[in-house]
Amino acid sequence: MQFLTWISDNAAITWIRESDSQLGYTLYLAFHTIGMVALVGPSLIIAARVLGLAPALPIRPLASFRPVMRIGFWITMITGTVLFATAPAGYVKNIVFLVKIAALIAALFSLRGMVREIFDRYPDPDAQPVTSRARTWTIVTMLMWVIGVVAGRLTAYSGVVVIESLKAFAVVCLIATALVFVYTLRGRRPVVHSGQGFPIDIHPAPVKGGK
Amino acid sequence: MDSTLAHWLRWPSLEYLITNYTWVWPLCEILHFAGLILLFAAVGTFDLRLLGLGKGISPRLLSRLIPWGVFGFALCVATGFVFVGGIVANVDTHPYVVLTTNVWLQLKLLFIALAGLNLAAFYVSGTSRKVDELGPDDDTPRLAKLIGATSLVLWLGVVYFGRLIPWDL
Repeated sequence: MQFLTWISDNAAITWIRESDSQLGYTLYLAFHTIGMVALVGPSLIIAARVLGLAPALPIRPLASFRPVMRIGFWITMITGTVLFATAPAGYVKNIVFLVKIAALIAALFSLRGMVREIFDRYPDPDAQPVTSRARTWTIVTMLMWVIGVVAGRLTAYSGVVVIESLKAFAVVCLIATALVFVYTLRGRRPVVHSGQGFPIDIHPAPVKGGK
Repeated sequence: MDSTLAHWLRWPSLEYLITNYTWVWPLCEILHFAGLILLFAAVGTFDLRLLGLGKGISPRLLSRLIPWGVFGFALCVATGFVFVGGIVANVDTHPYVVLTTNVWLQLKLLFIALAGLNLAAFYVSGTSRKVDELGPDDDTPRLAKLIGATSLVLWLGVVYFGRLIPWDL
C-alpha cells in the first residue's frame, strides 16, 4: 500500500491528476480510448473472417493490420498505466476494475494465440480451412474484449448498479446473438430474385410426402 | 427558435428512465463504446486500405463491411441522444446549455458533420466508383488517400473530443 501511495504522490502523477491542462488527465483518458479502438477494431475484422461473418476476405493480407493493433496496444498500455497511477489505492480495491484487468490480460494472451494460429501456422493461410483452434482463440478473444470493455465502463459504478447493468447487458447480448445468428443463417441459404418482385429460396424446405 | 430547440432537446421521459432505472446510463455507455469499436473496425479498416495498408484485399470487399460501421454509428447516435436528452437526470444543467456552451461537444458534432461531408465527397467525386473497380493489389488514387486520411483524423477527433465532454459540464 505504501508503494501505491508513493506512486500516486509522485510529482508528475500529481500534476496529471490535478492539472486543468489539456496535457493532463483528460489527454490520457482520451488516448486510452483511441488505443482501445486501434487495438480492438482490426481484431474484430480478423474475427469476422475467422468466424465466417466475412468469408470473402482473404486471410493473409489481414496480417498487415497487426502493426495498427500493436500501436493500439502500446497506447492503451501506457495511458492505462498512467490512469491507474493517478488513483492506485482505489483501483486495487475495485473488483470490477480487477475483472477488467484480468479480462484484458486474458484477451491479449488469446489474441496472441489467435494471430499466430491464423497467420503464422501455415505459409499460405488462405489455402487452408480455418482451424477449430483458430476459431476457439478468436471466440475467447472476443469474449474477453467484451468483458474487458464492459468492466471498463462499469468501473466507476457501485455494486447494485453494476449488477443491474450486467443484467440489462445480458438481455442486449441475447438479442444481438439472435440477430447475428439469423444474419449468418441467411448468408448460408442463398436467395435469388425471380424478377417478379419476390425472392425464391433455392433451398426450399422438403415437402412432407413428396418423393 | 432558441426556446423551440431547448424544448426539443430536453426529454423528461429519458430523465425518468435514467432516474428510475440505474442501468440505463451505464448500459448506454457500454453500447456507445461498442458502437465506436464497430465504427472503427469497419470504417477505420477501410480508411487504412485507402491509405495503402492491407494490400491484397480488394477495397470493394472491405467496403461491404461498412454497414457494420453504419450500425455502430447509429448505436453511438442513439446512446449519445440519451446522454444529451436525459442529462438533467445526472447533471443539473439543461441540454440546450450543454449544446451551446460545451466546446468539446460542439467540436465533436462539427467533426461528425465534417466526416459526413468527407464521405459525401467520396461518393460525389466518383472516387468510390474508382476504388470499387480496383483489384486486391492496386494502389488507390491520390484523392482516395486524402479522403481516407481525412476520415481517420476526423473520427479520431470525434473520439478525442467525446472523451472530454464530461470535463466541461
